[in-house]
Amino acid sequence: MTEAEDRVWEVVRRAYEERTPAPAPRRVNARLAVAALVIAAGAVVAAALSPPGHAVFERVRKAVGVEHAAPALFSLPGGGRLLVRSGDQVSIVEPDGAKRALGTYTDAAWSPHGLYIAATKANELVALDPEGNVRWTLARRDPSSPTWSGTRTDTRIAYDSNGALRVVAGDGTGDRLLDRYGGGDPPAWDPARHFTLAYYSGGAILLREVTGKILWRRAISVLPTSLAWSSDGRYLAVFSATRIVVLDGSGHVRRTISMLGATLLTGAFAPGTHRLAVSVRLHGRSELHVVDVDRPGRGRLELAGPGAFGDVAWSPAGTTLLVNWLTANQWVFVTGTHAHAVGNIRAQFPGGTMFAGGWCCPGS
Amino acid sequence: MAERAWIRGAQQGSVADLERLFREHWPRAYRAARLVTGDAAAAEDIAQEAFLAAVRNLDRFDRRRPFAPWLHRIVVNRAIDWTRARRLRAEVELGEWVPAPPAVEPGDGTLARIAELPPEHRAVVVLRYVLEYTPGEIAELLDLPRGTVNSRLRRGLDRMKDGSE
Repeated sequence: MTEAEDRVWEVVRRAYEERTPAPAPRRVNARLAVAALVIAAGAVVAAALSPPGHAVFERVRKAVGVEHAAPALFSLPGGGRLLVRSGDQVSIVEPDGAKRALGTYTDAAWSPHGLYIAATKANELVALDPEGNVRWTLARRDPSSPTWSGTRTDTRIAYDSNGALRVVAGDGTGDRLLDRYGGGDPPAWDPARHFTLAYYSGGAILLREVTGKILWRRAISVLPTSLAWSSDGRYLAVFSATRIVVLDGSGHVRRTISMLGATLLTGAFAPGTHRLAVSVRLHGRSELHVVDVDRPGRGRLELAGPGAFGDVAWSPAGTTLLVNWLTANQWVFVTGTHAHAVGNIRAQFPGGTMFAGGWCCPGS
Repeated sequence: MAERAWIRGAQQGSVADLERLFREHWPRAYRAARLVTGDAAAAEDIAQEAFLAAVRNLDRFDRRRPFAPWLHRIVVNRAIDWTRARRLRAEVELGEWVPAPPAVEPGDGTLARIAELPPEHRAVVVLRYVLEYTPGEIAELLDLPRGTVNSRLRRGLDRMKDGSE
């Protein structure tokens, strides 16, 4: 490491933090919350003039009541277990807030019933149990983005290896190449079809069985950043930086969702519903909306605040929405009209957090 | 190298992942800029500018594509521009061709001979023999016809060979 390298890194880091406004000092969380309230109120002022708008304003006001943020994660509202990547470490957060480090991995995902975890590290795909014990490993070049699907007796893991999409059985056998150009972002397993997954390759979304049979191919004009199925397999949301294209199970476009001028960040379907949580960034602040795919125009603002929101995850029952509010150094749990915030996240999870494998496990 | 995971992490707010990405790519980006410009300070500025461009465009970066060629395209093009601009300035001021900068890395004759090439030839030689891109990849990086890349490589190598005799 040279002096020039360190010098430039400082400049790059500052530019990055300005892009994502610098975190406020932990001691002034209350002030930050007030500022958030002012900005959030400004954001919805037009909407607040009407009775439905007023309801939105109230929701935002309540959601921004984060001045009472808990100093640590004492429990996981909504139950279940959360798989978190922070820095190089992957950890499980238990319902009582306890954290268990699984080890040094670049990416991780739950098995369908939360019995195992698929993780990646340099040139290795690894299957672990929740205690962190390695069950098997598979040497593959530059693996990432594992996703796991199946029943209690038969499962498959899809993963990226050096830009290619590969699939292996849950016991580490039968590894095969599915698409040389299908890697990149995690594919999305179709919950309504056996061992069938949607992924992006060559300007199109493909729905393909692990046997290799392509069920449909839908050319798409956006560059996807992630894919998410509704839990009944009726809708597939294709996220991009500018809009969300919602396809049905046959690959037909059902809706396009965009928010003028906003950068779309991420999103997820609430389990058991067609409600889609969407995180957007606009003019230095972030907003979380919930959109009902069956009811166009019925979006609801759940949370707004200055700076950046990171990952979003639904609790297994779909009752609680967790937002990683990076700028506030908080996780905000939104349940109906109630919001519960936990502060000091960077102290508890050094290196920045991602809800790597989601919140386990719907239907388990 | 888990580059795609780092890019995803950086897109989602992880400074640690951004730093991993930076540390991984800094040495080659800086080295490329330095070999093309022959100037350490300019190389630092150019490589820094390329990383800042990366940060500005992070949200829209396609994680399916490798990061290095995208970064090197910015670095090498800006390094060529900087070298041309310096030559023009020098021509106006001195009325003659400015001597090539001193050997980039003293003691390494090959690198010193690279520094004596015109900037366009220097860039393709650096991309081919230092950063190990194929001629096809270089053509894509610099928006040049494949034949132009081949001829610049050939002429660059001929000039280096002449210089060594």
